[in-house]
Amino acid sequence: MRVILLLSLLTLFLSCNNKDLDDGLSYTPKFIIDGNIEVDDFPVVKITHNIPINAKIDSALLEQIIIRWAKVEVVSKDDTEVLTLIHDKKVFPYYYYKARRLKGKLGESYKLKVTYNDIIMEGETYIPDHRPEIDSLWFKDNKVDTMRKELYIRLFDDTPQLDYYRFYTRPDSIMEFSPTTPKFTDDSKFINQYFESSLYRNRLSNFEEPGSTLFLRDVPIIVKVSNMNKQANDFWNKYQELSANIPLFGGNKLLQGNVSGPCIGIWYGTASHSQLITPN
Amino acid sequence: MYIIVNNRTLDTPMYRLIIIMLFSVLQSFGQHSKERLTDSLSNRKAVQLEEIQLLKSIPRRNHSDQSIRMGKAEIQQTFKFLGNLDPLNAVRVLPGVASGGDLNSGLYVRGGDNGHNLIQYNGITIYNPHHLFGLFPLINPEMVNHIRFYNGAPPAFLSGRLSAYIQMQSAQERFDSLSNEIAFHASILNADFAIKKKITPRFYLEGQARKSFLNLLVWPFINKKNPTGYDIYDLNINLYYRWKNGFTQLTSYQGEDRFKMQFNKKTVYQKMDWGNRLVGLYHQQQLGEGHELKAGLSQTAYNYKLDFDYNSSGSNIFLKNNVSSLQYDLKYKFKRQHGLEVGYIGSFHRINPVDIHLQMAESGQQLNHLKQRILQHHLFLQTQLNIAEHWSAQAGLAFVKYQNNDYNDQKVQSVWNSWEPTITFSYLFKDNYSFKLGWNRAGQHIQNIAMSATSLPLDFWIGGGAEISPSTQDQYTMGFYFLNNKQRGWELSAEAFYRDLKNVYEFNGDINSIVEKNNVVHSLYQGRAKSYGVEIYAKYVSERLQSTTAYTYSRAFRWFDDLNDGNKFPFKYDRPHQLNMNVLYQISEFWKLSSNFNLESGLNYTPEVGRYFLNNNILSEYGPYNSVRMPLYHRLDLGVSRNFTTGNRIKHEIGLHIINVYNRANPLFRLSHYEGSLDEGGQYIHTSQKDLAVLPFIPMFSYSVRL
Repeated sequence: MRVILLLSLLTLFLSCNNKDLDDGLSYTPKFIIDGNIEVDDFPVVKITHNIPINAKIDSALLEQIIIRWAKVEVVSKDDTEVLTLIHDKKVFPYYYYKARRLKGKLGESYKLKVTYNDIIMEGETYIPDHRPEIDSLWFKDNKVDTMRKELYIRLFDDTPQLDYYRFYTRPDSIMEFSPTTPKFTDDSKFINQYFESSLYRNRLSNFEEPGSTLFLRDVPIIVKVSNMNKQANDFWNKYQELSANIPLFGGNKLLQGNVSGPCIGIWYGTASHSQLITPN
Repeated sequence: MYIIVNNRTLDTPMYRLIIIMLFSVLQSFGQHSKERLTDSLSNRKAVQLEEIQLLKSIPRRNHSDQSIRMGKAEIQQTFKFLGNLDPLNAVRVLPGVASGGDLNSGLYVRGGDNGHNLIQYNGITIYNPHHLFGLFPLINPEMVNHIRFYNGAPPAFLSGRLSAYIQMQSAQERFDSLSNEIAFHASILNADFAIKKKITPRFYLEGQARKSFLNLLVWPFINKKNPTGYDIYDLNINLYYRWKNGFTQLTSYQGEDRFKMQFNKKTVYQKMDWGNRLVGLYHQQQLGEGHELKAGLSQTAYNYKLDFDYNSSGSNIFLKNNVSSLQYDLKYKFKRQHGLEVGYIGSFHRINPVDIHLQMAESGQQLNHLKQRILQHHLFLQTQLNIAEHWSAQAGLAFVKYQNNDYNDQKVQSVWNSWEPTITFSYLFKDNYSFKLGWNRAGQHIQNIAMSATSLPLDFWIGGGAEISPSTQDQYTMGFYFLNNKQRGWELSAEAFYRDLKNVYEFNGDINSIVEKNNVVHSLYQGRAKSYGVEIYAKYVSERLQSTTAYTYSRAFRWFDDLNDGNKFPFKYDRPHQLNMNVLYQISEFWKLSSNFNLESGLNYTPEVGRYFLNNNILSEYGPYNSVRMPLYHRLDLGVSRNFTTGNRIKHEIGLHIINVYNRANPLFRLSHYEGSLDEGGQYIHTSQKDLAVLPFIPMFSYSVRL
């Protein structure tokens, strides 16, 4: 009995001296870089920085987190261009960097170099050498919602290499694409070189109210399919998981891109095919 | 104390009363020999008895091994959650068993995962031992006679898990007409019916059927926006036949949960069904010279099915998890050779860990279709050795051969052979005091992977294969025990443990990766773990009061290459302080009070430390893995019940059980919410963070009747 009492006291003593876990609430400032180079189009690089968890987000802060004073360079095998800062109130961030001369080419590699004071952040990517081909798009009536229609897509791919396709849609009147469900496929799942699926629309931002997954009648939409390398596809998959913000699922929540330096950054090339269609 | 009375004439109420008196007499003659007892009883001539056989006292613990036995009475004394008694609640009040939080039915023993426990009913493995969130017990308490719990060095006939073995056992004694019983129980959530019937002096049947009616009484009144449905049913029938020197038992169980939910303006429809199916035949035979043969054949299966339907348009995501096992046991015990027991357990497992089928438009895709066919052989030898006057040892050795064929794109075969030794040294002093040292090395080839922050039916089983090595463990234990085999008084114990685990697994949290990678194996993180702690337990029984207090101080840490930059991090269920107090007080012959108080350090979680904008979304930036602890968890549940009898023999019980008496909000996880717009008209984002607590103050009435 004495031994048990001694052991109990020892336990209480140990527990009182227990050094608790690190509170983990350390915030490290980082740049957020989203750079893309599309075939036959000018590269676009958006740079912001992160904020502490307790920061109040208002229009002033949204302006402040945009990085406007960086030097952004894109280097191809035979050209280098310093990107120009563009102001556009229709998109966020309202300021971004865009080339005026250099355009993406199929199968080419490109380097990105961002310099901010004495901080240098660099990444390298390539544009896949195959542009996706939308074979057809069509709509079907929905049993539940008669005002909207379901979108279907058929893709064709007869190339031997493994391609990663991501799907997007946007109303013709809006500038930015939002991902669909399913969000991506790779061509290993194609049957007889064809892939056929329904595409459901998602909201543009995770702070918007969820809307219908179907498409309103008589409103023209643009459907885009982008081929990118595996690294970029993995990044955007992880990004989708994080943006869904489902705390029920744990695991590693670190988003790792391909831009080195004090940043979370992705620099990726895409070869895309877009089509306009109106659900009637 | 177990007494077997076999008399074909004991069928009237008067004889029942006499038998109860006989029980009392036997208890008062506790120290008498079998012969003297028999003489004493036969002199009374109240009834003519064919046979009275005093078998033995069955203590809760014993001084030689590291198991704890909880009898029916002890199970009945645990708190009724939502008016229902759960046999596994008797395990939850033991030290070293951490809870996963409210509505998490998992058992986290000594820093291990929920899937590191083997839970069996009549020797048959149960792969998912709970209905949803532990709202209802899987096995009805009416069908459980006792539970045996092993968390130290287990005997060698137990293999395949790292943390604990929990064996629920239905009655296996000789039955008489007193055993005949009909019971009906109802609460607002469910009703169940149980029957126990002696068919012939040798043949006995017990059965139970249960159905919940939440779809009728609960769901129509809540969550009208997103219609929900959830109900369960289960059926359990056991048959028992006693031979001259042995018995045969047939066990069968089938249960199912059915859940459905509509959301997103009723355009997305989700349906989940899951359930267990168990069937087993067991035979035990006493052979000459005290030898004993045990043989069993059983089949168990757990099936989970999810159907995610978009817009009723024929576009669906189907997900299935299936596991089934066929097992054959043969054990032979040489009673006179140090209780030497040898045996063989062979099992064949069919596992489809995560089987995903995407149906988009007219074409379908089979995305994740790993199929596993596993053959496992387990040979063992177990003995008890008396080393010196006060010293004894329980030693065992198991050999396990595991052979898995993975069928995915191609067949891949993996084979492992392992030796699993186990030993417990005991030093007995002053009759009731003992000191024990234990060590065991264990392996686990079939893993349960938790997909989420709580224990869900979605959690899947997967066998070791080319890319999943078996988990292994070395465990060291040391303890002091004061055991009291009397009906009343104190029982005390203090035990320390240290565990070193290799190849433990966590799901990477990325649902997309399962779809993308075509093989669920690539969605797992692998690492190692350590845990240590001290467990203190006190039990006090008096005429009116029965109470247990369990306190544990323990720590559990992990190291994974893919998490936290390979640095040490605490296990999610690392809860340094765990205190559980369970009290049952008999106020009078009719009134009974019960309470359960649980206090535990909060769960660990990965904190948000920052935010950033990327591609039109706002994302959280996370700090070190599992580096922050939720607030202290504590909850008090109280119950009161009133018994009364009508007619000659109909016993009624009306109960009121209150969950979370002081309405403590114990968060299960932390949730961030964003709302805003980046349109030209006005840019703003409202962010909020709240702790999601799921179990508020709930009063629940229940009613039972027993014939």
